[in-house]
Amino acid sequence: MKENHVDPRRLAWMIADPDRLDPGETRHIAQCPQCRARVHELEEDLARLSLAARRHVPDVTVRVRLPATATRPRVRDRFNLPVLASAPALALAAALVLVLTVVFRPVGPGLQDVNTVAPALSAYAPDPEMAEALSLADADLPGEYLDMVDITDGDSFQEFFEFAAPLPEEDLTGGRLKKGGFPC
Amino acid sequence: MQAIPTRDTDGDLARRAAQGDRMAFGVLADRFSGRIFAMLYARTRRRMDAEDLTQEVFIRALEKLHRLREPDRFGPWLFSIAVNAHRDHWRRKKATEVFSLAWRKKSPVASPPEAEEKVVSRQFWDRVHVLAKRLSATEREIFFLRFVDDLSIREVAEILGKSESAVKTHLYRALNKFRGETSLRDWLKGDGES
Repeated sequence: MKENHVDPRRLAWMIADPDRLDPGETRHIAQCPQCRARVHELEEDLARLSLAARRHVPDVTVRVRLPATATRPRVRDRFNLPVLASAPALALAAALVLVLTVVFRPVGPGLQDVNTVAPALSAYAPDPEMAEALSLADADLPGEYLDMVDITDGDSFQEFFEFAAPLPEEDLTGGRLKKGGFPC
Repeated sequence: MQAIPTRDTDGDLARRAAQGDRMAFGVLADRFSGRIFAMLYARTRRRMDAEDLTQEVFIRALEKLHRLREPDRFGPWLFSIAVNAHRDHWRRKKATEVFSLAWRKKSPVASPPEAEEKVVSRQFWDRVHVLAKRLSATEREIFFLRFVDDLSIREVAEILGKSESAVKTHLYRALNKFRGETSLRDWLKGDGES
């Protein structure tokens, strides 16, 4: 009579969570040397993996150096911007702000009464659809549209294969560990 | 690196360190730096990157120690910082490659592992890399934390902010992919005998 062994895939529950196995499967594994041997082989290979992972890591050559005081690195340090490299950028930004302020300065008192938008709207007044479109042009997008145009980089993380253990996919949008995770 | 022998538990040391005892934190750093380095090396395969990140992890830990609610869970908390540090490292690296691509008009090339990596070590990590490709991102993170970094399921759940049940489900899937990775498993059997 053909013996019904436990599905080899389900044997992995013996390692991940034995409670997920049916009572019948648990009973069978307890009595079946073949199924037990399969589980044992998998356990041994995992133990070898763990051992090899420790064995094939180089020795640490540098001791952890703790700073005198616990301070966050300054933004410039974090982005590796040297002082001299960031100064011209700041000057350029300031000049740009100045130019924009001059170009887009408020119109003079003599022109304040001139409404440049109203004539345009009134010109389209006979066309109710166009008038509605114009009035909505600057309105905020509803939430659902904002959600649709939200840019996430989730897919790009799938290219994480040059590293051995990339990001969990559920956490990609948030990026950092969250929910019940540690505050870090 | 040898950990300084002390009978103090991680929790005791973390409590003292949170109150400003730098020596206590130094002991914790000595105790955990090897494991954190190994964890980061398994993911970057570059000694310098792993050493820099290890340094970063302990600086972050020192800065945020006052936010650790359960000092007895210092170990998993430190690993969660390491996981985040590695993610940040990956993002920075990816951004650099994007800029490099735009600037040099070259195709992106994955950083090669260390040249000095021994042949046997390279064989091992190459096979682990093949397995990693077969796993989903979550399976990969969980499988590595559990079987490469040697953490318990409870610790993995704490580090990733997931339920133990969810961790076990992902682990089950990952185990079946590992089961089918005969090249790695055969190599491990040979490596164990050598």
